[in-house]
Amino acid sequence: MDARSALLRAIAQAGRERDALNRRAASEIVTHAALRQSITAQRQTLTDAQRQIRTAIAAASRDADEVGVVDGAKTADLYDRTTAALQDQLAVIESLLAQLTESAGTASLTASSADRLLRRSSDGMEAALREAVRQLGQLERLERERVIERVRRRDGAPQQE
Amino acid sequence: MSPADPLFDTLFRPTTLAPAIASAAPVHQPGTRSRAGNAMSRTRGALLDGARRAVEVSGTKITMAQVAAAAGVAKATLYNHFRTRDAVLHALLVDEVTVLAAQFGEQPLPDALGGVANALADHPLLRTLARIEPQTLAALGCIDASAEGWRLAQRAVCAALAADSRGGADTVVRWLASYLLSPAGPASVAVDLAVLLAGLPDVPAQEPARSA
Repeated sequence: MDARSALLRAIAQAGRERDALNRRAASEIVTHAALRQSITAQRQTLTDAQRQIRTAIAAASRDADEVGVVDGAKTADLYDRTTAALQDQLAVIESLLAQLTESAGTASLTASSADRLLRRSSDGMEAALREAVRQLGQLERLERERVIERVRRRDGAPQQE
Repeated sequence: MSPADPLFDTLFRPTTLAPAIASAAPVHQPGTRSRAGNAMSRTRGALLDGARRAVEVSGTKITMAQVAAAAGVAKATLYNHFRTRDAVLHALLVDEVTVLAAQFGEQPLPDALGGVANALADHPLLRTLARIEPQTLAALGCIDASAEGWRLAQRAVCAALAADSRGGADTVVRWLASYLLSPAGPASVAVDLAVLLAGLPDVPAQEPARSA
């Protein structure tokens, strides 16, 4: 799977998960059991997102090595930046996961503190989603440059700086 | 009194339509022009305009009531044309591609390709999705040969290139698709377009088929 496909999957999943988080945050949590269930579901959601972003990072990193040989350092640099941006998003999601895990273990978990946590997770997922789309936009720009470069080489025109 | 008797006809002639006819939505037969067909087409256009306005505000999470209100028609009228929200969104997408193809299809190749690239980079619906629903835009930007919108786009590009005796439709479609997710200014489009037009392969024009 290339970085673009991996990013598309990560974006689709992040979108679904963000919606699920929003629904969960909006629902009224009345019992303590429902509270814990909601936190567990949210942890699962974030874990899925974490896995998908890790796949995208691996694909971007592999593409950086491959395109570096064919298209040069400039192209590889863009994939490296994509990898770095996704690593940042992964760190955010891991921090949210840690907070949720910690909260789930405390006895003083209340509906309002759980609500705050759920909303924070939802915001974190939204940010990860937007960042992934931004990176996809960068890869699209790169793809456009490659299309034009291929046409130029075929035409035998001098390379443009 | 026999069935042929005029009195029999007056007394026993049904006054309502058969159920199958009464419940059927009006259908415009292709190739015919009728006042009803034109009215349907106008209503459909108004509904798609309403859907366009609704999507520009709310993204794809629109409701049928919102579309009907934006189009200024009753919900029942909307349901006569589209059964679901997905059907509305699909029709809107196909309409957008068709409008772009019609708008630029008759122009000389450089103007057509440049026009479409700039239109995609500036498209209000696409920019709305980029702002409020980026994951939908990401999915739309992925070329999918099985999707009707992409098939229409591919066909329109092939036709524009063929009219200029040029090939390379896949390259052109890939280039145009990149503007969905990564818009660029007219100057950048013009620079790319010059390279593209210089490098697209020539294909011999096909002779018109002779009838036997």
